[in-house]
Amino acid sequence: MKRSPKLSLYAMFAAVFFLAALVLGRPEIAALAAPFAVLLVVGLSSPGPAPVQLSFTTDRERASEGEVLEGTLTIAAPDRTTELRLALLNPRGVKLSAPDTSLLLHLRPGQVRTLPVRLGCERWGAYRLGDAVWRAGDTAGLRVFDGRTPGGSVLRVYPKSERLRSLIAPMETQLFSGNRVARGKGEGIEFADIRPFVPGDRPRRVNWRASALRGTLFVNEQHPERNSDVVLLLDSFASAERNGEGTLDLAVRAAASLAVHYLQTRDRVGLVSFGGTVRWLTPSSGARQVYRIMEALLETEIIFSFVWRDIDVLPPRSLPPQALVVAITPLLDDRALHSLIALRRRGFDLVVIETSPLGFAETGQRLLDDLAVRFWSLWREAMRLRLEELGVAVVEWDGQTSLAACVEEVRAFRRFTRYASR
Amino acid sequence: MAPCAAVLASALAAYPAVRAGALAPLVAVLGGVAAVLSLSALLYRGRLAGPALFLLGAEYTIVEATGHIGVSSILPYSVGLVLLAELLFWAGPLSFDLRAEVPILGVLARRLATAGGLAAVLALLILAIARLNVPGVFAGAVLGSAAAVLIFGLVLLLVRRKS
Repeated sequence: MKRSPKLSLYAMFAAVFFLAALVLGRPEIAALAAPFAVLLVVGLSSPGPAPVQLSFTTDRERASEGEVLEGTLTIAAPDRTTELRLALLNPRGVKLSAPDTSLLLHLRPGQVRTLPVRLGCERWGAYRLGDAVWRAGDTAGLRVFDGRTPGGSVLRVYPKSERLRSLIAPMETQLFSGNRVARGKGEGIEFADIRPFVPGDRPRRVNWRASALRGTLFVNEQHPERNSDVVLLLDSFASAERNGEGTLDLAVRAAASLAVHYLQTRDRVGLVSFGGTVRWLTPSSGARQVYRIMEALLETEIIFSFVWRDIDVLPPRSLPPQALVVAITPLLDDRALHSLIALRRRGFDLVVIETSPLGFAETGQRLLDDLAVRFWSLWREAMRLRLEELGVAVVEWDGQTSLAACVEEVRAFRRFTRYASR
Repeated sequence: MAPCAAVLASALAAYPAVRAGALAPLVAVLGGVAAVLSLSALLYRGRLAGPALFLLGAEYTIVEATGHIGVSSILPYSVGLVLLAELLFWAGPLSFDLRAEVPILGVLARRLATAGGLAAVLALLILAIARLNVPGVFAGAVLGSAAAVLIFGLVLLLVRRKS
């Protein structure tokens, strides 16, 4: 508890004007000072302020970007009348909107108040909610009790998932059954070829039309349905940001969208966050993996480091053989570029989604600034060509166009490179 | 509440100035500065409320001591000054986006009414005491000093006991 500026001022005012009345010999002047002195006496006779108890709860612990949640702020008053000035602190990325986050309340002794608070989830991340600063004052406002209550409620805002109509098909499939038509022949649904009957073939696989034409038994062969391994490689070496939005946000959204869609098609998806710190999630499938990946994405951050890193630091399990590696990178760091080239040279099926930093760069007004931007663009173009020469599809995503268009672009590139490789 | 405080501050600054006679320019300057400080206190979270109140009090004291103003005017002026102080300290520290509940406005109204009533009663009491014939200047000074010491002693006692 501390004295408010009002207390000091009232005391000083009363003293000065009592003295003025004495010095000037005009007792009427004391009438200016007397109310302030009496207010001090009355105010200080009442009980002083005491700390309040605050708690904050939300109706859910998980939400997606753009969703609006309802929260409840509960205030428990002490055993005395309190005037409470309260401000709920807004974490970056969550907007506490309705009805108000700064309040002036009158609390009766022992009263418990619940106030609704609306939360707009603006950016992905994990947030601690309910941080509040408050000032409880006594009835006369002469003494105050300042406090800060740390929030006890955690809200996880998952990145918004883009709608994708198709996915980048991996070059190779794995052994487990899935939704992808494998190149090889075996038990499946999709027709592949016909071949002469051999002992042991089931009669139901006999192609009677072909057998009648050729005079000997022929059986149908099918492509088996298999799953594939997809590793989302998130470049977290560097990020370009502007107005609180950056290439990392685009990367996280792209990774979340791809992970959700690949897991829906029964593929195994893993995540590697490759940057100042290296984190990975081994490929797995199922609904649980969606949450694992989302939780891992929430922890993604840019940690600046000058340590040279390449893909050797990754454990082999995080990059299974024949996996499709989708690298999501702003191509701002040479270490990321060298690692991608190394991955391709080791035979990984690689696709690069470039989260373009050009949209986040401030362009200057001078001629030299314009020249610098043009040089930078050319240098980036050269990096892309370097990857494309190795048969890597590189597609630029600025967040304005849909991710589905980028996926289609990659699919077209891969179709033509396949022709070229034949 | 802030507009009420602004109007009240302007009225309190203007009243002595229009009655100041030959001292009008000096008093007007004091009143103008006091009014500006009051408005600043409303805009800057009550930081300049103290100087504003002191200037208003000084402005009235100058005019009253030079005999340009009637003694009875102390009553409304005292009430106005107390109300202004309460309003400045209530509305000043509020940020613009702070929402005050309706019940607390009732509490404030009660507090203002109490402070205003108290100031009026005290002004009447002091005016009545001032008309008493105290034998000698020294006795008056002793009486006044004793009253002041009593009040401040009480305040100090309460401050020490509560903090």
